[in-house]
Amino acid sequence: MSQVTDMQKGLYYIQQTQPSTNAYNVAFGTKITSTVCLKTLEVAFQHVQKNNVVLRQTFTDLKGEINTLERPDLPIKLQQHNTANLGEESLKLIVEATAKSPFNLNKELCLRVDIFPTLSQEHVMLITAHHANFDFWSLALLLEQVASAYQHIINGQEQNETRQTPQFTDVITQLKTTQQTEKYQQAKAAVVANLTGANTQLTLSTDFIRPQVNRYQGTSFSFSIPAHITALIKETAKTQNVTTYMLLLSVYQVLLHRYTGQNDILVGSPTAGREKRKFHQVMGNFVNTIITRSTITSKTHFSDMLQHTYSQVVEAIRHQAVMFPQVVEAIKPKHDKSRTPLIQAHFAWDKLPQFAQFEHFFSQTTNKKSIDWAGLTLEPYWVPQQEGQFDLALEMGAEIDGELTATLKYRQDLFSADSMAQFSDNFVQLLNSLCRNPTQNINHATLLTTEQTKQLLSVAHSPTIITPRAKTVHALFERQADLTPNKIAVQDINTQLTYQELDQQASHIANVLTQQYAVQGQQVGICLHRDVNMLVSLLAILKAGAGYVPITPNMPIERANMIMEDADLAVMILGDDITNLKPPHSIPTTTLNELTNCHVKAAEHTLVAPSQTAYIIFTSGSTGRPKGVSVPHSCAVNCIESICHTPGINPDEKLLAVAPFSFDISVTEFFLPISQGGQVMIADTETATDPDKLINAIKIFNPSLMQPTPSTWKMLYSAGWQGKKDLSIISSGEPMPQTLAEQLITDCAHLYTAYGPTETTIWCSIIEYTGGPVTIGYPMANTQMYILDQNREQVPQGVTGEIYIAGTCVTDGYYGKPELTQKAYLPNPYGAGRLYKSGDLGRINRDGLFECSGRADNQIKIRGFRIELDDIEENIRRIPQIHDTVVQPQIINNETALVCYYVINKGQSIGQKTIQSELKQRLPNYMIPAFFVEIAVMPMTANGKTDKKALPKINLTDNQRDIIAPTSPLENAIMQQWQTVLQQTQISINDDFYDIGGHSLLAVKLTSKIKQTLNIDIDNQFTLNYTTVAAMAQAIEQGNLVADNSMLVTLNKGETDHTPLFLMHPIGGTVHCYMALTQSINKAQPVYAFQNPGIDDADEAEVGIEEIAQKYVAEIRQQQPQGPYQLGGWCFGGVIAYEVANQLQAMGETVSGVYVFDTRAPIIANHPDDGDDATLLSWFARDLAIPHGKTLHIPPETLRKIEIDEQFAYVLDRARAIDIIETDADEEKLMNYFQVYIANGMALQMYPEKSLNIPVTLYRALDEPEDYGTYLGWDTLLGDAFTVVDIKGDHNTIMYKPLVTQIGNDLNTKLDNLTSTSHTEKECTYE
Amino acid sequence: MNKPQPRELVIDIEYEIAAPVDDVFAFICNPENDKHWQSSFDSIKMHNPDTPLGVGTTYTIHFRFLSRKLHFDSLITGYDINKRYTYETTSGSLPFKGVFEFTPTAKGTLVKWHFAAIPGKFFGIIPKSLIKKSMEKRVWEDVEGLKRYFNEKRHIEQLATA
Repeated sequence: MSQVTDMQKGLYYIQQTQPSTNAYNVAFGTKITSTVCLKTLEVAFQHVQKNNVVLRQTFTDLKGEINTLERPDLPIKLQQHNTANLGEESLKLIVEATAKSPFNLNKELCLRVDIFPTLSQEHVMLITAHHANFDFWSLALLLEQVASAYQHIINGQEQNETRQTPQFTDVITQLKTTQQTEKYQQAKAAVVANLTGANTQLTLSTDFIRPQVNRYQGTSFSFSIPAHITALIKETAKTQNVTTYMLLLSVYQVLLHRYTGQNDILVGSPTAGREKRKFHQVMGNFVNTIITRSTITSKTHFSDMLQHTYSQVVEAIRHQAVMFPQVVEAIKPKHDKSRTPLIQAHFAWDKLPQFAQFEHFFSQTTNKKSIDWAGLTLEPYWVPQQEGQFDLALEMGAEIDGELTATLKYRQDLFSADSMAQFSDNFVQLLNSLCRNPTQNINHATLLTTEQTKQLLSVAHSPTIITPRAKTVHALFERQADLTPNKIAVQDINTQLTYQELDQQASHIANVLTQQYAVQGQQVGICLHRDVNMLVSLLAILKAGAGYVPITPNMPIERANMIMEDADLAVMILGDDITNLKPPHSIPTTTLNELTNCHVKAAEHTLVAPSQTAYIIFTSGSTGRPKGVSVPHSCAVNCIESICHTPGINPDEKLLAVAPFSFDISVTEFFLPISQGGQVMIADTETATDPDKLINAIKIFNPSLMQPTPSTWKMLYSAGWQGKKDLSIISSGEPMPQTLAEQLITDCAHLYTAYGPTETTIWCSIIEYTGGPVTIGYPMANTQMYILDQNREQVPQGVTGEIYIAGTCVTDGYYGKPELTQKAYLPNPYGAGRLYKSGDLGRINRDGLFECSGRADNQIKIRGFRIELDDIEENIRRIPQIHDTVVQPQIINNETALVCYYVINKGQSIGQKTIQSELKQRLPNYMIPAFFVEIAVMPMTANGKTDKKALPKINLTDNQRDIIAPTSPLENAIMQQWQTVLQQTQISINDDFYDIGGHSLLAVKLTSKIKQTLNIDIDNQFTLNYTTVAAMAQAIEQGNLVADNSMLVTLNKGETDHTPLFLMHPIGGTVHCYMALTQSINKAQPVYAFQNPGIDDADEAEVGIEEIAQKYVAEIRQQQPQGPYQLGGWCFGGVIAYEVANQLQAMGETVSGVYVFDTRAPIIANHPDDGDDATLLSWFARDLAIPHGKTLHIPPETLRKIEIDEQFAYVLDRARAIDIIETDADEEKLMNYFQVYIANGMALQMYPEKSLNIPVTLYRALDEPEDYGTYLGWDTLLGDAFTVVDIKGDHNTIMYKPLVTQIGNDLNTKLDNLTSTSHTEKECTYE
Repeated sequence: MNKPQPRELVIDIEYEIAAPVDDVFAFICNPENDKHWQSSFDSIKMHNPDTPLGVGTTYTIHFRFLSRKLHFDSLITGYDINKRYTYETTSGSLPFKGVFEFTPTAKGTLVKWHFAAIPGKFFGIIPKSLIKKSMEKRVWEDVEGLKRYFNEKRHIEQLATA
């Protein structure tokens, strides 16, 4: 055995962890067009093999020690394929597939030679080697040595075994010695110093969602640099005193900078690693990776960058002996399984002199020039190789007919071929631009081709131009009121108004406002509760020629005061029951009642211009003071008219309005339907925020259109909403998760996703969602949207930049804040009007649709509310005890929540409750952080900024609990695993695993962690039998590691004078679901549970209820030889209990009770019509999520559309996406679980209806929405001979705390009573 | 991940029927009788109903199994009366072949059935091991039905001759 280098270890590791990858297959293809003696060729290869040790080695891994092993029993064989009858295309496919066939490094040599006879009686020879033991240089040596050997044999010359000296094994020995030297260590320190603090994540925009694990699967895109640009490159390199390699590398880095917006770019490049001449003839893997780092600013000129690259390359080459894996180890980049460590972009300039005559063999060109090799005639036969090593790798070096050729190798799970074609076009464009003017700023060098610019502008500009039917918002309504005066326009739970009534009432109040308060051209504040009067009042203000300024009744007084101070209100209208709001004395105040009852003379309509303000909506501001966006009628009218055009509103539309009127989507809720003859139904605040009430309101009002935020839909689903098949939805305000969108289109009629900042009037883009990734569509009528980089240059399609918006939708700006307005509302270089800088990141995807991916600044959206984190921080800093603070959003339980990190002033103290109550005086509820973490000092980056990434993750446990710390090293070791698995730190040694978030899947993970860490053999019953850290430690100390019986789990030993209760597992096969029930049953009661033996060994899974029951009956009789027996089961478990009872009775035994917990009776009618594997997999997905309190709804029809081999992986991916299984979850174990699940599902379907005389008690979940009949079919099966106990809760919650105690309490009475009684038929009693 | 699954699904069973081999062969080897004893049976259409059964007989038969509908165009490939009966599919949901062998015994007839199918992806994600188990379970249930059929037949015949 021989030792290996760190580089080899790394490549071996990749191949072992991703056995299907071919990323490190080095390949050479050629067509031998002359006559060849294949036998001789094979002998020649074998001769070369004898002389080079790396051609005789495989790899071994003995307990983590990786070595190579000489295998004299594995001669190189020419693998001949049966391809003589294949056409060119078929042959090519086979050759490429062979080149991409992965290596098994433990069993195979690192070299394969394949021969493919062709139709024209020629031969394609493919040499494929694994990079772990071979490099490109070695390939050149191999070709040279094989050619020599072949010619010698053909010429009849004797072949001597001339073992090469040194061999690669000698090189490794020397390398290990070198790495110990001070010189090497100094070089390593220099490399590490250069890279310290570098950004190690290249954030290229991808076409596909980045998978959580890099599978090293890639493909290639080849292109060439036109001859005139190639010449220009060489000339520029010469005049700038750099090499061609340095120039190309620099432009590649500029391109990556322009694509990512990142200034700190790391690019890896290979070095041959053969500085010593004595190693030039040695085969092996000498290659190392060097890294160059570019640091770019907004002022960097190309010539400066070239000089920087020059010095970086020179330094990197000087230290090229420093092994890349050691650099990674020293830098310790953030571990990310989805990326290669440290570098994700690579640039190779391969110009090996040995390959001079083969140069065109490695480029995908039409150049078929043949060469002489060993007396044979070879033609190029290009095969792809080494694809997928990095996110993006550019390989250059060859030049054919004056054109530099290039191959882009890219991960096909990230990028499409179209994107790579675009990338290459941009590379050529940049090369041309920068070489023509090397002194120009790289940020403004031409990146896009003319064609690309044209394409982007065609997407950016909405083709829809509309002319509104009226010029003001209220005029749209008035026009409709004239057309349909008697139709209902608005209603709330108590009142409804026709168009005419609404118009008359609004006109009356408008007259009062005009005559009493002279509001024309002014702002009117309004604070009302939600009912029809809100719409009457808003219309009145608009009719009076004023703009309304909404203040919700629950807004914190301090914030409401700021708005009233800043909005220059002519008058403040208060609801009659609003008493907490006290406007400043300078602002006249009136009430709705006063306005309604005030008698004024009728007046002419006030003339209102489209440019007049319709409303001012105040949003979060970075200074701690809200800022008001002033929206003219023309903008609001454009949005309403655009929606009327696309998607279109019908005259009978009934919209249920739920948005607070301080949120701009309320504008379309109120005014869109009544501009078209539809109806607005106003939900009061309590209804709009309470899911149960909102579900009820949807039932009562029966709307056809709603437009709440995604958070509201999530809230409704959590409360059990089932959807509404005739409901159309426009959703905006925050990102729409794809899973939610998929659920909504399944459950509702249409879903439109819309996007728009308040500054561009509610929405500026929209699209109907029909599946796949969620987008924000395309610009609405009279609107333009652009994606620009930080230097306001257009970015290529697919690349993320900032969304800028122009057109009729752009509002007037921030009321009374001209400087702020100037910063966000910019001159429009693309046309008339102004360009609004949204601060939102986005891109135009490959389908020409816009996507939005979050905020570019310190602003976020939570439940649709736009929040400036600066605003919150500023308000927290005003609390005297607080020294500094940072507020950050975090995903907690799948929801975005605000976390406040704060540092207090020395010598002072303040608690979370005090901070919260202080903030409640100043901020609305949605801006108050949910979590508070006190830290000693604020972490800082090297640049002196707050290092937000270094802030600790919050601890979700209740800090008020008494924590008992581990008392021994063993308890400590177990505790660490609990903390990892449960992702909590505050755990007491006596905490019950299942009380603090543990469930079946986490139990599996904990078992695995404990096994690995403590190197002990425990089974999955361990976490059932020992549920605290202390109990686990004690069990391990006493050697109680493996249960005696893998099927029967003792949940509670109880006392021997009690008759045991035997519980049967549900469809999933495990019995963790009975932990809470057991805790709620009398401690003296013995409780056993059957776990499906398939959980441990899938082969043991049975597909018949009878067979399962037979096994369990045998076990039961071992445990309790005679009846009466007490049995039970949840869901599917109830059916097993029923059959177990049947078999026990058949043996002459007595069964005193069968307790079924919300079990559907085993009758044919309860079998789903389409209960195939897709249905079972859909259920499995659903049940995976339940212990987490989450929903995973994957309809069977969705699964049926997916390739069978990918269905399970799809479910796991979806499960990972909502954090219900870990990224590194044991997939084999999960597959085992699924097999048990599917076996049980099949068993259930094959179980015949059996009406038996068995004493069944049905515990019926009262709140279960699924309807399987009043008695779940038990009445069909048993007539009236069963007992029903109603339990509050749904099918799942009845088995968990606190609801399970209902079952526990009832069982306590029944089990006590039945212990000594035998069964007699009972009357059906309904308790 | 999963344990490697064999491509072919093979079932071999044998059972004894308390009836003469003439009766057992005639009954089992007529596909039109499947409806009397195979619980997965849905419907059958003999392509040439007026022609006697034998090698070359073709029929289309439909089953329901594991929530799926299966249909097969089948061909009788061997018809050695009272000894051996073989059949296979020519097209349909999945390819299979079956062989029945009959041996007279003291109590009646020993029946051996060999069945080989290539389920491919027809049953979706269900592991072949589970398909095999469920098929075997279903077959044994059917065999019980078959035995019941002959017992009842004998009982009726006894009553008739009494």
